[in-house]
Amino acid sequence: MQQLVRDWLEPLTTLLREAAWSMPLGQGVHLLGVCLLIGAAVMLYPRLAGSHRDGPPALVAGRLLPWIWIALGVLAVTGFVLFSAEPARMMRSPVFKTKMAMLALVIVLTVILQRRARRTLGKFETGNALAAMAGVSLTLWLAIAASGRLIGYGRRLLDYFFG
Amino acid sequence: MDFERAWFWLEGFWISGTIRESMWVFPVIETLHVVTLAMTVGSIALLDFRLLGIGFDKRPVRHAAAEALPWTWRAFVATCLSGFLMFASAASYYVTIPAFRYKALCLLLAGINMLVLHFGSWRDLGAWNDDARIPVAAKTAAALSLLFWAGVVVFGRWTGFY
Repeated sequence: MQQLVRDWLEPLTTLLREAAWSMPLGQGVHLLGVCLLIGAAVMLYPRLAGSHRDGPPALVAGRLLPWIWIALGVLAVTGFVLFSAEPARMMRSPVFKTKMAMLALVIVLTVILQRRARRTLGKFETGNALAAMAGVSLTLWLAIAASGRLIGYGRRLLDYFFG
Repeated sequence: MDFERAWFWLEGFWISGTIRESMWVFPVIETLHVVTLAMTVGSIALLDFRLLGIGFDKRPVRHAAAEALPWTWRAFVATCLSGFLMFASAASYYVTIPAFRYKALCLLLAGINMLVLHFGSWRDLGAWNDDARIPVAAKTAAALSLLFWAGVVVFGRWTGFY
């Protein structure tokens, strides 16, 4: 399995390492995905958590959640490319692992939230469960974005704070 | 004008020195910069998409603007502050980085573009607010806004590689 991964990933790793512009550009496009996702998230989650200025929560979710999925698609593709440039380093990085764990959690939450939001169609009251999920989701998205930036600093920073 | 002296003057502040010398202050400011920048650019992009008729928002433009712009401005203040602090830590170096110059140019163009939209077709927003047909000038401004802000983001990230 590991051999298979190496055979498939290594040519890509070499390619990305050798082109000087590939990392800045790859990270730049990844960051554009982050912008779209975080932009939609700050507009969406407070509405689900009980601030109903822009209409019933189900409608707000209907026009903003698709952007979150689209951004996530862009992030998955560019993220995979960035991972391929330095797979060994990423697999050792505690910040990267934490980021992936938070990502898995927030994706599950988003699926549940989407289903629940649909069921509240036409209603303004969404209930505490949905509000709590919205709060946790926004916190996770912001933490994921922040940890993405901190991967580059890695263990040095962790050691400084917790070492 | 002698800009060089201004850059050194900025670098001379105690806070610039602290940011330069501390191991954790710069990464923390940079992280705040990235997260608030994402809010700024993301909210702008969603409004641009609405003006271009792309996406899932079918409401009048005024509603879409009222939903997005408060986030844009609040986050923009935080992005500018954190960006300025990072800039002050090594101003005379940043101004020599090509990517940083391109970023500054994109930011300037994005600002001009916004002003043109604001004092142009936005002034008779009432006439096309509910309309499915958004004026070409407003659509052009939205497309340019997406382009310039993408430039700000990509060249901003590129600056960090120098």
